Amino acid sequence: MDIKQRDQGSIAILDLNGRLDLSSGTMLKEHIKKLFEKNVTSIHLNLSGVDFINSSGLGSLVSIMKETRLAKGRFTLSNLANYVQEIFEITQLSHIFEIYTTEEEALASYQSVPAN
Amino acid sequence: MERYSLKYPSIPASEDLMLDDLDTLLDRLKLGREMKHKIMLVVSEAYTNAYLHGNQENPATTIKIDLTVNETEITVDISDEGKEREGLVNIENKKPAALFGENGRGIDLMKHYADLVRFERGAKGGLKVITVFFRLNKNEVKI
Repeated sequence: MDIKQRDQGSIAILDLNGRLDLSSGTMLKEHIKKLFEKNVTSIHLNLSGVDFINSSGLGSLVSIMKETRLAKGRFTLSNLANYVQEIFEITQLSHIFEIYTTEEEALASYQSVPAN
Repeated sequence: MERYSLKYPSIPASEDLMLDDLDTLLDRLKLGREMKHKIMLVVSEAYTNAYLHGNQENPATTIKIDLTVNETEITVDISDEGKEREGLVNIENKKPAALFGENGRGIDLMKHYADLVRFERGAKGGLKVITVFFRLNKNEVKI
């Protein structure tokens, strides 16, 4: 999986491309750990390039979401492919993640719902 | 009937290689996008379990994937060489994963996407996961 970072103000936007599985999930957690070390705790993932996710990838996202909550930050997701969205719904994870249809909607939400 | 067999050492790099190979094979079989997604996900979950829990990341062991394609169904067996995991035999009794848990969703997803999931003792003492995907008809709808 490929991870590209863009910054908008205090928000780190990560574009993910490829499969989100055991090895790439670990890589993503390492990337975000480095953001936390720089006190960046507002993180948005644009998943438009993710064409495959499994339970290991989901586990990585849950781990990141919990770490972000503990750091009083925010963790948002957008642009999920239908197949990926379906997996979030089957696993009920759509209830605990902040999921937006588009990146624009997600970033706009940071104006109205700031980090804790 | 068509049969295919894939085999990988239990090393981290094998996961991507296995998914690449399976992706290519399923494209070649022209099963349709929905069926391809289901098989990719279910095999990936069984493979991860075999790698982490069966073979316990021992690079001297291997994970084997056997795929059989019939007109009526596709069967994929995923076999490891580790210790048999007795607990997995009773998957019907498995509780759903905790909502905030980081693990435990793999078998739930396998049960959801495969039409049949069964666990058996493998020939070499490891675990063999048998997964079956029924086809709608000869002219399966491609989504």
